Amino acid sequence: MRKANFILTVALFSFISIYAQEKRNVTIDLGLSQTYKGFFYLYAGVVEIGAAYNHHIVKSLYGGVSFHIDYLSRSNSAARTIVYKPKLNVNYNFKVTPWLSINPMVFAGYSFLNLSNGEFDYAETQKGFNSGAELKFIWYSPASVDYYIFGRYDHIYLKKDVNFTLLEYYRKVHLTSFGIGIKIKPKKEVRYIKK
Amino acid sequence: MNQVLMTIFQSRYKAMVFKLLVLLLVITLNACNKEQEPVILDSNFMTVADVFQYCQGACDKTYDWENSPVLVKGHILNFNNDSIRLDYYAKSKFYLQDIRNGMYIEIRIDENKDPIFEKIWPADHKNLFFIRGTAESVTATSNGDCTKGVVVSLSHPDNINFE
Repeated sequence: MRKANFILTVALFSFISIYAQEKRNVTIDLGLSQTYKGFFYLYAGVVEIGAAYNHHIVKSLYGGVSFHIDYLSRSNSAARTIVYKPKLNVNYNFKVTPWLSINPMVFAGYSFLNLSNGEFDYAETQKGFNSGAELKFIWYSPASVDYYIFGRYDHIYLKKDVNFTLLEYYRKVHLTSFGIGIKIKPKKEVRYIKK
Repeated sequence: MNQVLMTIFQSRYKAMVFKLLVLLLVITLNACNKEQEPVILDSNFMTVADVFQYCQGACDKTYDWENSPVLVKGHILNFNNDSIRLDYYAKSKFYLQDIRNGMYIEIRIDENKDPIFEKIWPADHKNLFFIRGTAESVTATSNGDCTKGVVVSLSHPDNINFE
């Protein structure tokens, strides 16, 4: 029953996804990031900033590359971590109304975590595979820039390094971010598809 | 010509997208299914964060780490603060922290308090300490839930070094 509901919902969204599909677009966003459990449990996420380039593949499906940076810190401490997240992604644009669309995305990449503590002259880099998902709510505007809010979840699985940790628990890094962004669409390349 | 190139590009793109999705699935399943290998507490010096996380559990269970020898390395918390140093001496304990993520554990000095503190006083707060001790469980209750945590007992000055 749940499966049927899901299929019906997807079919409905596909049906109402209409009209303008840009061939490519660039998104830039800024969010507040947060870590959960694991090694960075005591860190307070501060900010995430990033950009993505998406190319139209077929119908409302897009694929692209993105690069995001998370800045994490601990209050009352010189401990800092910067997470660099280059990723490949696929996303689908469900156009709900002429002015609103929902854009779910899945992505995979390889992330680099730069940990440091200036008070102790400590710095090291850990790295690992990154996967996750994102949901955007996009408001269309007649101009070449649209606006959106997003929620994003990143799961990073760090490469084994016994000097860093012996525990599987710490190899799993969970990051979320919520924020706002803009989608820049080249006006001349807007393509119209009849459904 | 342009249309042909576009078609080729799109078909390659589709293949790449498919591979990406498979990769995503493999990575996620691999990460979720990985189980923790047993940790030997006294084979190499473990970080404070590892000891803190590994040596905990529910109060109604007994764990392999309880009353086991443990090797742990870390920095003494707030070691550049004179009043805290004196407090550590008065209470026969100090805290060892992991400067990477801020976690810390208690090091309890059971015997030889004076020789141990005499050994660590000349150190700097930037020094990394290496401690051979015993992992002992302590309990804490919060909202009716009882959990076990760890303190490391230290009994001899030969069992603490720094660099």
